[in-house]
Amino acid sequence: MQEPSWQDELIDRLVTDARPVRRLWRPEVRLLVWLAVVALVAIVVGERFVRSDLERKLQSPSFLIEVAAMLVAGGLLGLEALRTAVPGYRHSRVTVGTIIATLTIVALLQLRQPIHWGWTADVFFQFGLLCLWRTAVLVAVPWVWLLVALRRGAPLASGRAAALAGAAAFGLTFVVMRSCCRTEELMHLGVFHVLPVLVGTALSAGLGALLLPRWRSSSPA
Amino acid sequence: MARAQAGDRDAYRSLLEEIGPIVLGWLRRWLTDAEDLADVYQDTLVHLHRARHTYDPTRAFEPWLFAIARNAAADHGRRRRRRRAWETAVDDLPEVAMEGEAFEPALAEALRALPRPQREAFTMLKLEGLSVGDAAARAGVSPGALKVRAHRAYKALRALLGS
Repeated sequence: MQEPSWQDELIDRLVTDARPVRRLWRPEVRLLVWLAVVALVAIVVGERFVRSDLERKLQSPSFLIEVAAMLVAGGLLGLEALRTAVPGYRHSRVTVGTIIATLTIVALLQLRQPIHWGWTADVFFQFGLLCLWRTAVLVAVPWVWLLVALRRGAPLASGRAAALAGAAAFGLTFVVMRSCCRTEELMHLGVFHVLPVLVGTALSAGLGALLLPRWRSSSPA
Repeated sequence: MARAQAGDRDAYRSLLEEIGPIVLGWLRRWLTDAEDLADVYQDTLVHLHRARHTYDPTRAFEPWLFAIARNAAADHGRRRRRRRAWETAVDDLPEVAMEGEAFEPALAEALRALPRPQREAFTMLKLEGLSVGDAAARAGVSPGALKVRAHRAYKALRALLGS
């Protein structure tokens, strides 16, 4: 099978098709572009929904820590997603450790929220569905943008790359939604703010596993 | 590689010729079957070609190259495991009723309609009476691949002959 002619033929075919390609930007640069998109969406769309007591909330250390931790986690998840689209990148232990630590902080701060037992199902879902709708509006562009950015690269582990992308997009949308929703209650936050991040991550992984491997069967140029 | 990204075909050819033996040597550590080796080698070079825009000249080339090769080998292994699982299911080849050496004109017609590899597999196994191993050796494929061809032939013949 290793006749020179067979290998030469393959190399000839590849060389013939070797048009100039636009080199992929470094993941760090692509992350900045993506963060700019997220910020733009947050300003343009999120501004319409911003909570009336935001100024007061921003004076709360626990709220600030929660928002800052999730911003760091979302940004690093986005960076890892973009790195996964480049063969040969290894996840750094520091980055993974920081992501886990920040997400743990966010989870612990969520668990400190009070539980309101007086919800009726109607009111619970009325508030919740509004948050879900806003989350969907806010996450759509950053999520699709990041998946397209991955598709532009060469993600070898498609499902993992897309899961990271989903976690990043939904994670940063979580931050925007915390600046929009006034409901500080454990069940509401758990079901309508945290759960969408988890479901979005899983959905993204599935979509990515299905769609991203197609980079192998198409030209990058 | 940076020159190849800019469209320098000579540089790209030199690179591919240089890395070919390295990739083959690396793949040989994991793959013993010559056919598998050729498949994965080809996949690696094709994937490298399609991912060449992702290479960053400020980073080392080897991790990038071997990540692609490792992925191609893993993909091949997954495909092979799936195929093997399916091959087991058709281990007992279904019998096709034949009456002596003169078979029905309809069957002859249906056989002509089959793709050549399937027709060959059917003919060797059912008309010439060869064993799976002998037929596979003659066709130059693995016994599993030959069974798959034969199974597809039976399926197609059933559809064509309506039974």
